[in-house]
Amino acid sequence: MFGGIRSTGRLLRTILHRPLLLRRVMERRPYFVLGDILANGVTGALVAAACTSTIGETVPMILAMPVGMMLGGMLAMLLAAGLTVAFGAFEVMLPVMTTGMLVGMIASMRAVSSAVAAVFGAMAGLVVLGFTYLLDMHIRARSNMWTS
Amino acid sequence: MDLLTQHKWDKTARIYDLTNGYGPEMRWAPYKRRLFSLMSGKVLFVAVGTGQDIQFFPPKQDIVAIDISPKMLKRAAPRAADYSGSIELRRADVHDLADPDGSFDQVFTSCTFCSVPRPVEGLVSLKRVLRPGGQLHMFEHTGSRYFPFSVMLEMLTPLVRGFGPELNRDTVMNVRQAGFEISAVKPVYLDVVKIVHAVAPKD
Repeated sequence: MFGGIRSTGRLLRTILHRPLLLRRVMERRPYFVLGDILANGVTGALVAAACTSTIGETVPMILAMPVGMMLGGMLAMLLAAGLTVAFGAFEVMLPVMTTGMLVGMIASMRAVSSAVAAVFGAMAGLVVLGFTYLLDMHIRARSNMWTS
Repeated sequence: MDLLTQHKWDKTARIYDLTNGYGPEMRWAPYKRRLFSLMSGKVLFVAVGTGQDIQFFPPKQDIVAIDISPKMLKRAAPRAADYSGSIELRRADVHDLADPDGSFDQVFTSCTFCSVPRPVEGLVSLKRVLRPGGQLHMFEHTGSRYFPFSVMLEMLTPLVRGFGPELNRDTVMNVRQAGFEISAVKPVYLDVVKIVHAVAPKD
């Protein structure tokens, strides 16, 4: 437990230490930053719309969640395969697939219109992207003591 | 010569530049340029592929670049010919290098040990051809320690193994197991894409 608290503390220090923050941002080139935003936003929106329109309200939530996650993951994998060509390999694949699985799971649980789901999906995609940028900064901050 | 691996990369050679030529290469360009700027002396470059990395090599180096796939090497040839220094392209299997012991001052790899079938054996082979105290510089992707990326990379590995790399390797551990002394590991993206600097022991 204390290890987790210490890690969180280190993460917060990384975020709040502004002079180091900019140096540690994994990507600052506008083409790739916009590419990351586009990839995760579009994936989130498409997966959410697809899941809400294919997984019906009558499907029990316990079944809808894993089915949505799998559907979202597969759809995201296909999108990632195309997006990596333009915007980078793991930098695209990992957040996009995380977005797909997470959004697929959540969107399958709620009875909302495809349009509302798409907006939620796009926002969730950006949150996932933000998380990966923060995690990357955290790893860079710790890289001196990191061996594997 | 591992014919299965050769066949896999021969098949991939046709589309390799399309899938990896722009996005991944440009994204990693600053890191690769900085890594390859360390080149000096007699250099062995392992798995040159279609030669995309040649654009990041510093000028006027003396490099032997190997690959297991003749079709990859054929595509690399024009890029090697345009290089300002000397690049000798050779078909070779990293497990079974013909070069005498201690032939090279440095070995460079770039997304290589995700695909070498027996990575520790391949690294031991590199240690043999490096002079004692020679340097190994690697740009590699590995598995992750962080959820959900760890699970994702494990799950994707069997899907892509047939036509591409393994995504869950612990290359840093493999370098250690091969008997190298690791001098630095630097993250490029999360704990997945990284640069590894190691030295062949002097004894």
